[in-house]
Amino acid sequence: MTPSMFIFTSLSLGFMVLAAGAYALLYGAARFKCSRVLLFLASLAYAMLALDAVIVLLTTPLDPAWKLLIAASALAYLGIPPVTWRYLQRTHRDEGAHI
Amino acid sequence: MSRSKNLAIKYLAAAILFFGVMTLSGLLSAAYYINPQLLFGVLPFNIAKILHIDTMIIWLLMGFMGAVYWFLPEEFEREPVGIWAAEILFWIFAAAVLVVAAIFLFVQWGPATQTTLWLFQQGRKYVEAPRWAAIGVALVMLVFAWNVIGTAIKAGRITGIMAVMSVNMVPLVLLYLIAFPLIDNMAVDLYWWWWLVHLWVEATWEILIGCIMALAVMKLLDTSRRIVEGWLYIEVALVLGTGILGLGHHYFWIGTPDYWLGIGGFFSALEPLPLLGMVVHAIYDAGVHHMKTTNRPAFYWTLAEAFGNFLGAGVFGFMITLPQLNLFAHGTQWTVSHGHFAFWGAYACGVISICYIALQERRRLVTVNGAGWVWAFVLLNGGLIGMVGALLVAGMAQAFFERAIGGSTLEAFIAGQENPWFVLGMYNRFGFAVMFTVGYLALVWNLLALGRRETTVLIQPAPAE
Repeated sequence: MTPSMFIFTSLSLGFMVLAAGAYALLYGAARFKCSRVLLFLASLAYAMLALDAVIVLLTTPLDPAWKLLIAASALAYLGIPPVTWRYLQRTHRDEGAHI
Repeated sequence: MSRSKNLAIKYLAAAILFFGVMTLSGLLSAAYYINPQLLFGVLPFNIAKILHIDTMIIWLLMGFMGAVYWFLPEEFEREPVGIWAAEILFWIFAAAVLVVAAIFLFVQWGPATQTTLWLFQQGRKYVEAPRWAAIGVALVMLVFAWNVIGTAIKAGRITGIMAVMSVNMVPLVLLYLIAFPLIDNMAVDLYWWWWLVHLWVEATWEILIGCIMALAVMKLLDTSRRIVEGWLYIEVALVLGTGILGLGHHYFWIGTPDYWLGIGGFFSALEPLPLLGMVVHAIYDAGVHHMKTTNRPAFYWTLAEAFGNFLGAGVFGFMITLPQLNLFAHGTQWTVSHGHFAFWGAYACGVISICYIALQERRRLVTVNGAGWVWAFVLLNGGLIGMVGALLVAGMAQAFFERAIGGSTLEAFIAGQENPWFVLGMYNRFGFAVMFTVGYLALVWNLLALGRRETTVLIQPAPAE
């Protein structure tokens, strides 16, 4: 791994999790406000995450096992916000405090 | 007010006091990077750093204990068993911390003998306190566990949160015992030492703060116990699933077998996943309650905990957790930036939130708001974010120039320390550390002034019939 590639890979991984956070934040806000604009922005955040993951997979010298883990993580990031949201709604609905 | 709650206030006050010691010693440590001649021959850098990280452990621990003593009587509807012992031990604990701090400041070091080990310091990072003090901490932990578990047994009933907390007390006490053995093989010593440092922090502390924040959310947002307990169980499962074997990321370069590279990298890479769920939960709670609460500072500090934990542990951690990258980044200021952000997000924000919750009830305030807490919130969080940003830049310069290009030679180390990016990072870190210190002062002022200003509303006693 060259010095430049090391920095690039590391920053790409940080960006991936940051984009996941932005996606979760915007997804939550979109569902809460029933806003298509926010949902679009959430999709955009996830698209950036996915693009970043693809770049990591194709251009970095990480071992294949780590690349597989990153690909799986990118897919998991897609599902976590909706699953969490549904679970939150269900538990709060049962308590009569849902939105 | 119950004896347990009075004790809680004492613990929280002591926590805020030692938070100040941590902040000042951190500021001093930052200053050494700008002026290495500072206090030459009087107070070396390593002592200031010991004070900084040891008081970080102590103030958070005291904050957790204060929070638990605050909620215990409410959970069990009775005074904790053995509260008298906890009351006595509080003073011994606080006095011991001050004596140890004085030893660090004025004695500093000793020859490699048993006397030094028992009286001055043990020399192992995070647990430098001499053995007599370590025995004291173990005793405090033991009584703390007795207070929680004994009260649950005596009450004859237990809630889900208190069940989790009671079970967690066992590893909380046992893991601290690793502070005692004297192991002369460095690899073996580090292997066990990480059990204390990592498993205390990323397992038992995570569960403890999870329980505390569960109780805080019930009080702050009136969320039902069933919902809160459901999430707590999920958190416990995730902590056990990722946090325990995440220990492996500390085993990469200390002489342990190669399989730790795979185990550590894999489980550490999973750690951001549950944090993402926490972000969604924070948005949901904030939305459901329309950001309205009777205690805004506590609510905002709780939100800061969720986001700080995600950014500090999740984003900053994931950048350096895979072994191929960690090879270059470990032990640089990059790791320091991750450590600062993660500790702040995961624990410090939660303890500050509890302080506001306790003071609201203690001073009989219907609402808590005003400008004071906003200043503290902005300055502390702004200072912290600035610091970790500056440390990140400095650490990247180190990893790039010293490690990746220079090959970790002594010459490369010096070149890394003199690199303009590193130097700039250190200056900026100091500047933001000053901002953080001002934020600390604003926090103390706000906590002291709470209830004595027009921005708060006192509960009026009912008129006599």
